[in-house]
Amino acid sequence: MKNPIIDEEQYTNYFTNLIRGKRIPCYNIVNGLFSGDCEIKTLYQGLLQRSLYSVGELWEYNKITVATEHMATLITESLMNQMAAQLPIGEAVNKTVIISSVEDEPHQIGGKMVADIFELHGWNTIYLGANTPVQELISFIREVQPNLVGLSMSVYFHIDTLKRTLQSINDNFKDLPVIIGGQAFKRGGSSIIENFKNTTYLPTLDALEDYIKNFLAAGT
Amino acid sequence: MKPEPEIIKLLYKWSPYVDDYLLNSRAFAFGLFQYNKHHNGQALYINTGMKNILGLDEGKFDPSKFINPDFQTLVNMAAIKGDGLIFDGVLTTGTPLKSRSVQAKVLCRQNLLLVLCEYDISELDTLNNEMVELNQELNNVQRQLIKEKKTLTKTLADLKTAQSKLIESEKMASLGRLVAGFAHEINTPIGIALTASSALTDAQHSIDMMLTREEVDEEELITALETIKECSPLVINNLKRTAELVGSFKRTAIDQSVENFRIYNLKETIKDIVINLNSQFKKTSIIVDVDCPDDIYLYGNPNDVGQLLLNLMINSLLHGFDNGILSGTISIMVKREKDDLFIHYSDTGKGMDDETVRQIFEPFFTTLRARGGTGLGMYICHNIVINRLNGTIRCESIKGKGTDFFISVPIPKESNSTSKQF
Repeated sequence: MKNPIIDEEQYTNYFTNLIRGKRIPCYNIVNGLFSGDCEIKTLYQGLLQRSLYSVGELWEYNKITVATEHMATLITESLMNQMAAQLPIGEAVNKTVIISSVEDEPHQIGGKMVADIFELHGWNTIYLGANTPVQELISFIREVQPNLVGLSMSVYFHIDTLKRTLQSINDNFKDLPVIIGGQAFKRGGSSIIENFKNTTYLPTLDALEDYIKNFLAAGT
Repeated sequence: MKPEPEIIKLLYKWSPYVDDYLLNSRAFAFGLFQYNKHHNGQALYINTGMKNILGLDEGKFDPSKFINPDFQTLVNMAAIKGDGLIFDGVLTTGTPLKSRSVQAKVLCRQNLLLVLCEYDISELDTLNNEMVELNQELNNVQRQLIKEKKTLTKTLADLKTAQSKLIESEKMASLGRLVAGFAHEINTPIGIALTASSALTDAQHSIDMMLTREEVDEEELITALETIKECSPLVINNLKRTAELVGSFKRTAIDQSVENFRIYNLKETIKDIVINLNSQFKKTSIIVDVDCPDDIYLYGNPNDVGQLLLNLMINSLLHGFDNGILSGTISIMVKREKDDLFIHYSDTGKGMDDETVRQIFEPFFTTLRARGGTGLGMYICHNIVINRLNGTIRCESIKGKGTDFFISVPIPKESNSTSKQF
């Protein structure tokens, strides 16, 4: 078991309430864990991410409707917003990151989790949300001049858009590091980074935290 | 797109499945209705979708479930148009309170009506997607607001820390003013004592010289003794005065620098403050008048009352009397009523307009910023009365006439039990 603090019973309880659309019991479980010893990263990964991946699978196998999937997503987002108010802001490290979902990608929770982790580490975090057109992203990077860009992709068939986005970032900002991640890479596909300079695939929030620490240690 | 005849043949092979699907479909609704010449109608067959849009569940068909066009209008249309398509448009069904609108075609053959309806799923789909996008947008705005609130809360906390540091430094500055005043005040008696003791030394030296001679000049001796007679009380009195000043300063300064809870006499504390500010007031034509019963003993930190009066008096001096250029009176009247203490502080200075009075207790409000005012003096007074003495303070002022402060504080319970013993 990867997250010892969230036991299987708690997870099952949460997941059952989530797909039934019962927000309050879900909130109580999350709040109980959050005000206990559970780290935000563990909570995101072991409860919110795991349950949404399961919801995604149920939708893929036509066990639940798209409406149920939307409901689960919106409940999760509202829980994250409630937690966000209690998240401490890390000591400022004078670094800026832009986080966004790729163009046409309607899912945004993964990006939000990543943005929160950066914020906890004191980064100035600019979160652009779902479906950011490539050209707009490029203009925004030009305007803000971040130290890093993070792209989230949940559905695999946006892979061509991701390639186009990475190419465009490489062409316009030669040395700008980019990180990618999301549910889309669950069954592979992360090897596309080999074609792009300065691009790193981060499979988990643990990997993200290590990346952030190394990034600062390297004084990038 | 119309299927080719061979495709239709193929489709016929699947007809049992297609029929079953259609009969149970909810998105596609159809029904076959029969009507008679009295315009009454009955349902010969309706599928699940039609039951749903008519709101029938298990109930029997009722022609009134067709709202627009209603069943009678459809029958009239059939009578006019004859067999074939008699209606193509939006059909509203159910009850006026719970109605549904669907795309529909109605066909007539003899006394039969075939009603075919479908939900426009694509529109629903578009609406659903728009709703999801709006929800996400709402979520993002909420998140942004949370982030901004967090930043503001942090900024506010930083500001509060900075403010309390400034208040501390203002307190230290008022202590500094006391020290400067004290140094100036003590200089005079020490100077006089020094001069007198020099004269005493001269007299003693003169007498020593006389003793070495054979003859003593009487006049010279008398002069030396006169000097001793004059200077000795000067030394004693001025050193006494110095000792008094040191004592008074010690009480005030120690009270200001440490949290010192004890029973103290209010009148003595007020007198100490007045004495300590004497250097700043004595060159002015401002009279300070204190009217306080001798027997008011309070438990607490004397510095609270000290700071309060110090700030009020400095404020009167700087603002009310234009740094001592104007003349007038400062009056401090203290009255005890049961368990409350009333302090009426007033000056006959130039007063303030209503706007200034309204803002007087706000931190950093000053009319003398250009001359280095911090705007914290009155805020500290307000803080002392409200937060430390648990009382109230009210300011009234008339421009050109003067300013009044009405202060009311509850007497701490500990004060009564030990009164007069100290």
